[in-house]
Amino acid sequence: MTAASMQGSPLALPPACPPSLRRQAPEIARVTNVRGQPLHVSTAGLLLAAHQRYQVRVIPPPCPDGDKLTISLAADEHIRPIGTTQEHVLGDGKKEYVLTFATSRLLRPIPAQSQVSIVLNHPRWGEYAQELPVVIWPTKLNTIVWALSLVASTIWAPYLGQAAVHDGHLRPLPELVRKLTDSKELGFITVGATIGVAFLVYAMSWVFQLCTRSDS
Amino acid sequence: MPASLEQLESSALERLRQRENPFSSYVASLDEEQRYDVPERLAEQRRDINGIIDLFRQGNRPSQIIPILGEAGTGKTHLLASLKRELDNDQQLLVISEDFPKERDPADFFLWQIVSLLLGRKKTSVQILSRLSNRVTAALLGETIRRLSPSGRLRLVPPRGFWDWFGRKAGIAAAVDPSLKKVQDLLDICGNERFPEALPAFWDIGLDRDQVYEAVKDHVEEAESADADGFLRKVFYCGMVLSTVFGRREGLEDFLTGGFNDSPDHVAGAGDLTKRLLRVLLEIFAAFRIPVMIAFDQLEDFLRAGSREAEKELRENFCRGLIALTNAVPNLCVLLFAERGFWFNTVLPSLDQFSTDRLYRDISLPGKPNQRAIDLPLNCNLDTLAAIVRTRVLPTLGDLENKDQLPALFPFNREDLSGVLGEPSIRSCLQQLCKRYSEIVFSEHKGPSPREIHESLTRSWDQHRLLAQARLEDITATDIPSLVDALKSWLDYWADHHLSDPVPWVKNDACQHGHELFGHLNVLRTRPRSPGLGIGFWLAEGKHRPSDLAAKLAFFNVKSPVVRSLVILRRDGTKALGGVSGEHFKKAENKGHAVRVEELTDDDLVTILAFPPWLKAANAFVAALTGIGQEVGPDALNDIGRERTKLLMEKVRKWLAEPAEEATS
Repeated sequence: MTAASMQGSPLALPPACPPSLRRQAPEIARVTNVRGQPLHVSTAGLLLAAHQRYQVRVIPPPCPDGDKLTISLAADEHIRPIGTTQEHVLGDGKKEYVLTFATSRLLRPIPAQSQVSIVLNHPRWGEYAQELPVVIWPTKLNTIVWALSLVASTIWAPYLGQAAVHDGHLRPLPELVRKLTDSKELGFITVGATIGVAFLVYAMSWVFQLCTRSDS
Repeated sequence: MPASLEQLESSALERLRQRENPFSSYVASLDEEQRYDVPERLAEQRRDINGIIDLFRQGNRPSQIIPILGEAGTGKTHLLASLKRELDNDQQLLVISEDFPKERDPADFFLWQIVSLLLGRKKTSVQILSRLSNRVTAALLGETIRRLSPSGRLRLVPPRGFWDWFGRKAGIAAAVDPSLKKVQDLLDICGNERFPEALPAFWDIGLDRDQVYEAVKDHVEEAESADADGFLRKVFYCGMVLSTVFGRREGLEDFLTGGFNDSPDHVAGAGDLTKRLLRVLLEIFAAFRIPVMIAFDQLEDFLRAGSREAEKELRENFCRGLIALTNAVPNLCVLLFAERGFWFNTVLPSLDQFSTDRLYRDISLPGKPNQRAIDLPLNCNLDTLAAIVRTRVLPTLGDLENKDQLPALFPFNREDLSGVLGEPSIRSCLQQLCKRYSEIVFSEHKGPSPREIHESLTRSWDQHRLLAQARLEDITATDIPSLVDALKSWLDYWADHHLSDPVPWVKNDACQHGHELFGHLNVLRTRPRSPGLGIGFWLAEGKHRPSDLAAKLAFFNVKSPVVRSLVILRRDGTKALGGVSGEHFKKAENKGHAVRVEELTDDDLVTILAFPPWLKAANAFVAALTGIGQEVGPDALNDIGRERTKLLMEKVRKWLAEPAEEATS
């Protein structure tokens, strides 16, 4: 239904009506991936992945002042808008505004909570911000790197010290390399521990998500 | 006439004789059943009123006072009663005020009138409140859901067990999507007419009323301001949502019936709580396109008091209160049904300019020129009168077979109806029909007695004078030609019917020379081909006053003179002879013209204005009586004509007899 037809409808409210009855919120506000597919939703918010591009698609409310309504994206932590707002006219004549944004690389091992704010500047009633809480999950590579770093720092650091120093002197390089390549068990232990730690980090991420609750 | 029709008429008359006279109900009351409503009559006025209501239906508008004016017996109360019936549904709110206590604040009074109607147990009251609650809830709920993020929407549907809870936390589509779908369905019905019927089903499929109510309440708390108006809106809206979602009206009723007086200090301290609540109430009606009208029937009765001073005070209080209220509170349409004479002669003259501008201002309707009031016509045409007859007679015939085949005007004939058409109001038409009906149906006597005829004609004269009196304020120079015609018609009547024998003139002409508006005179000649006495109406004001006088004096300068002396009638008499007008007059006198200015009294003017329409009505009445075989002697009219206009005739005789120079000096 267009703004004009809403005005004529018996259920449509007149332009000047009490604040709580005004149509300020967008008719539809959704976040999709760049292919337009919907995202998963949890009680904590929309589930996004780090270092990815997404799109916010907004169909504004019927506006008595027509095209004067403007839409923008307010960037919160870990979110970066890309380009300007694109405007499309859908099959039923409604206008859809598409704003693209990217999530940051997210160096932390567990997810981060943030929000996408869609700001509608209504010419008559001023600014209205609609917030969509999101949970940004780090990439799998990030999790593995974190797990590996943890394991390496705990297992390999003492062993490296032991292999490199003998009687208070550094070993010659060929001897050091030979010593390191001889310890295959340690390699296996390292791989296993890394996988284990990676799963542990992943589990912690789930605990984070299960304990997080969105406010809006 | 076929025998069967004769039989039908005879059995119809027999049936009518067993029932009461359907024309005996000629005074309308607001609670009447409207058995005898004829929509064709006052159709234009109904259209105008509905047009105004539709303007208020568009949404926010400044309040407006609409005077609906008519003479006594023209159908004001009947119109209001029919509006009351027509508008008695949930599309608008019509409050008919039966009182206006002078000690009360108008806002307070109107608020209680509206609240009392809303909280009543009448079907319409329940429907309006329920419709309003449903629409407020639908609008608030729709906006609340649109403002919620997907995760927020999930809270409206409580999880159905541990795995459902876990699935939502984890973002598993199988757990999340059905709940989001239910909320989307709820949002979809918020913009639908079926909202009230569809809503209960959502509680059955898992939506939580408490969560929904809390979400709406949070939205209202967030959107509305913290001031007094915002507070009143919050409580009022939440009361309506409670009423729709839980079916509990107590909160809303308590609040509206005085609960708002227990509001927090910052609200109570803001003052004018009733006015604020009235504004909030009207705002919500306007938001949902439900016009609110308050009607006062018989304004003259509201403003009646024991003494003249008390009446004046009451009138001032009423007008000031009404104006102050309509200034302060938008979205209110006040319909004032009043007698035209009372409105123009009593209400408006006692008001200052500020009040007049607000109480009697232009009403703009689409496709129509602006008007300041809705005027009720004095009488009606033959078709409408025929419709009135059928509306009253057919139901009285009950289940008589073939009653539709009776003549359209049964039991009257065309002459009967033509005879009453000249009556000055629909009520007097009905009174005449009532009398005639009794004669036809209940008695052998076919017509009124000479005394009744005299009484009818006298009453008609008095009513026409009243009507003319109401026009006095509106008389301007544009009426000069019609006044000259009216005077001629009256003078002709005296001469043609030998009301005084002999009349002191032999020829009476309406002459025109020069200016198309001001250049009109009556000329009375005492000899057929000689110039005569000119009688002219000098009515122009302001810059046109001298031109009007000059146009009259110009009659002395025509090549073949028609006037030997001139009497110029002026409402303020010789006082008008100042400035340029005085110079014109002196100049004419110096030239030796016999000219004088006489005062045109209101009484004379009323006589001149009333005579032609009365004569027309009286002739129609006499013709109708003659039509039914009753002889009416010429004296019936002549006596009244002579008796009621003799004072003016004495003046005319005096003007004809006196030399002009003497009168002016």
